[in-house]
Amino acid sequence: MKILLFLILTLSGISFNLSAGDPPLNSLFQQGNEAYEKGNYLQALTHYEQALKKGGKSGKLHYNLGSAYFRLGRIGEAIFHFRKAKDYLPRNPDVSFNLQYARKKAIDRIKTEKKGWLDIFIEQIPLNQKEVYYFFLFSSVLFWGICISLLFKKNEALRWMRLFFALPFLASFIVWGLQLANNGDFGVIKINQTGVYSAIGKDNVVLFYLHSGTEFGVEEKSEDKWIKIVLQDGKKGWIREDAVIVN
Amino acid sequence: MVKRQMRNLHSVFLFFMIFFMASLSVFGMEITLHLDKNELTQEDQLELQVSIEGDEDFNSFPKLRGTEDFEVQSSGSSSQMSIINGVAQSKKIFQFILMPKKAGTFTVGPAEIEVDGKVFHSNEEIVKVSKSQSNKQETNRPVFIETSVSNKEPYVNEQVIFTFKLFSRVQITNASFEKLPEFKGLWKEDLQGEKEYETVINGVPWQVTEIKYAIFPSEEGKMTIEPFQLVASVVTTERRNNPSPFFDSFFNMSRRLQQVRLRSNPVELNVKPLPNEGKPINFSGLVGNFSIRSELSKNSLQVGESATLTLQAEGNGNIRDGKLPDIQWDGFKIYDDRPELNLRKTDKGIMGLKTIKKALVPLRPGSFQIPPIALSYFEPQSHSYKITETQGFSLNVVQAPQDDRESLSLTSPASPSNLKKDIQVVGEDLMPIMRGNGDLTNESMEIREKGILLFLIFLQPVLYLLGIVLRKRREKIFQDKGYWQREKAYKKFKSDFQSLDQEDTLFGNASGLLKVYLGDKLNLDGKALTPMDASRKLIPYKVSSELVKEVEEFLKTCEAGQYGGGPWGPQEKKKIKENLLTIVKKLEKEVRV
Repeated sequence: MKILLFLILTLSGISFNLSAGDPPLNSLFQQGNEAYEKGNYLQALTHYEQALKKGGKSGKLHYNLGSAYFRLGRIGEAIFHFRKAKDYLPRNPDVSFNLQYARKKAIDRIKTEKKGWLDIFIEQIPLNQKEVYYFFLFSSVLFWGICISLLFKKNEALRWMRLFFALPFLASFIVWGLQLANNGDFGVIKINQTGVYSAIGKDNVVLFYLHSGTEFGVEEKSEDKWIKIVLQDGKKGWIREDAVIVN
Repeated sequence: MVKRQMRNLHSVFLFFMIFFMASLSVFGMEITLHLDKNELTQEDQLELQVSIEGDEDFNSFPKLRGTEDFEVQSSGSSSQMSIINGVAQSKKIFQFILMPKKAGTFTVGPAEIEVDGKVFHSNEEIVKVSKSQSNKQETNRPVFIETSVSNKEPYVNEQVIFTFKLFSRVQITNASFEKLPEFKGLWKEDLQGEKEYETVINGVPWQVTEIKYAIFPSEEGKMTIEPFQLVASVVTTERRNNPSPFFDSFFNMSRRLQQVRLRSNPVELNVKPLPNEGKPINFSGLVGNFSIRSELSKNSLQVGESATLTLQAEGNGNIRDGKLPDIQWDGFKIYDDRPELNLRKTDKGIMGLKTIKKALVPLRPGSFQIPPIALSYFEPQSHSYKITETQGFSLNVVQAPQDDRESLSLTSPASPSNLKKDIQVVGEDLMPIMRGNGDLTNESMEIREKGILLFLIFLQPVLYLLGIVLRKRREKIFQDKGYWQREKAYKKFKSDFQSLDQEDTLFGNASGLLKVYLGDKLNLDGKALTPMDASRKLIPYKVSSELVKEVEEFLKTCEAGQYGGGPWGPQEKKKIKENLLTIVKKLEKEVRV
């Protein structure tokens, strides 16, 4: 009973959080939009960044922020925010277009092997994290609900329904698992050029140089403000934290 | 007697002496460090020899102390074993080549070796390393290498030419780099392959092999380009000691290959930061000498049509990193194409041409004066920022005729054309930003929300398992009529036991309680059970014989108490109650249906 009460209270807490509007956040977003429309990209950027600091977490905000960075010639940050926007709005064609467009401006070309079908499948999942979770819950309630009903009442129609709902349940489980496994940190180079070192510290060997807009995966973050990165072609090394933007 | 004692004493002494000498034999190792010279220059190399002699054979390798300021390479070892007067003697020689990293006076050694847990040390040697010799002295050698940079104090991102030269006045073969320098903190581009030519120094012809690199320092401060290290075989000719009287002098010469190791000087750069003074706001990041030019595809066009503006920046320097100016003009939409880069590598460095095409689409009619486009760069020669500009243009934009479409449709054929053309993309731009109000947080998920959703998701299979258990129980109750009675027997007993008093009726009630419990548990009419019946009924349920006996005794005691009367004290009555509880608890554990 206590657990039930806790659940009800926590869920109501969530719904309260979700429904509570934050006027300053919205007004910052609107101010940013107005500045952007007038061509004051730096001002727009400041408003969007403030909105982000105040807890703004939406595809729209990241998308507009990415656009402002792009207009200011800061390709690294633009790509980063377009990628974040795509996480929230995976079906939005404008987000995909802008991300592709910004990626064209990146200097470094990274040779990658042909993508496996699994990578292509993960990229094509048209749901964001929240949608995946709710889809999983919904399909799970349907499937297990029918299974439990069948324990106490034998019914041919219910048997067919169980078979029918097993498919979305399995699909949602696989998608949830893949998204969970593929949810590693990523980052983008934000300065014109930076060296990637063999170990932490500038005294080490520079393995290669990367330029603004190059994307990488984050393997490790050290307390000395250095990050171990891995490129798509498997190259690895350490890079200064202030040269990159990471999630 | 005394003589015998003396003889015994002698043999004991002899035994101890032999034992003592044997124990000393471990310490009979001699280790010597020898250098071929004690004075050399930074480009020279030192031959170091560690010779170890002793009557113990060993497999360990000597450690060299005091060689931190040298690069040490092993150049082989030899060993020799000899047995003199039945005593084995071993001699091992380890050879090393030492190349000094810097000038100074150093103490080389001692060499150390560990045998059977004991460490032996050699002597030390003093070595004086003087700075690089001048070229005049270099020319005394048959082969040498030289490295140089075009500018030792460049600015950040300034192009510097790094030249490597191998000079030889004898025939060399198998030349290969043993160690290439790390261009730490520098961006390096190869300028050309190997270039070979001949030069004359002090009247002596030298064969020169030259390699050039363009380097761009990416950070300010002092940096060092580490030395190149090269190994080559020098062909030397020697006259034979016993010349053959039948052949001419050519056949009396023998050819020999001698391996040499060469090392260049480290090159130090002091990279200066670009000055902040006079730095234009829209500084392109270019360092070198550059020019910019532009070309417009047409000077007159209609609203909505596009003209191509070609911008070209050319120059000597880091053109790859440079950013061409962004253009925003009132009355025009401007779309950028992808920049193209052409690099030309010459002896003097990298020359580059960066081209970007922009599509200009006028939004309204009128006569426009296109202002010059400026490119800012830093010129290292004058230590200042420069601005180079294109020429301005005039552009005449006329209104597109309203009836264009109609007139076209009149002249166009009614049927669809087969001569379709690919759409030519003249510009690209970002999609517009997203507007509108709404919650800016509802697309994200907090950890708490995720946790609750996962709890709810994984609760369901647990509920399903509980359902299976519940169903099985239900099925059992349905199939086995006595199941429920059995399951509840103990609970019923416990509740009745609470109300059991210690009056005279205690024996009858206690016996009745046990019989009812047994009846419920064994699914029979318990009230009619006699002590003998009870024990007989319990045996098939694999209850221990002690417990069966206890039950029988208890029921008999109760019967005696009930019918036999007698004075029963409260202690006995209390004990009866306790016994009853103990027996039922044991039965609950042991009776398996």
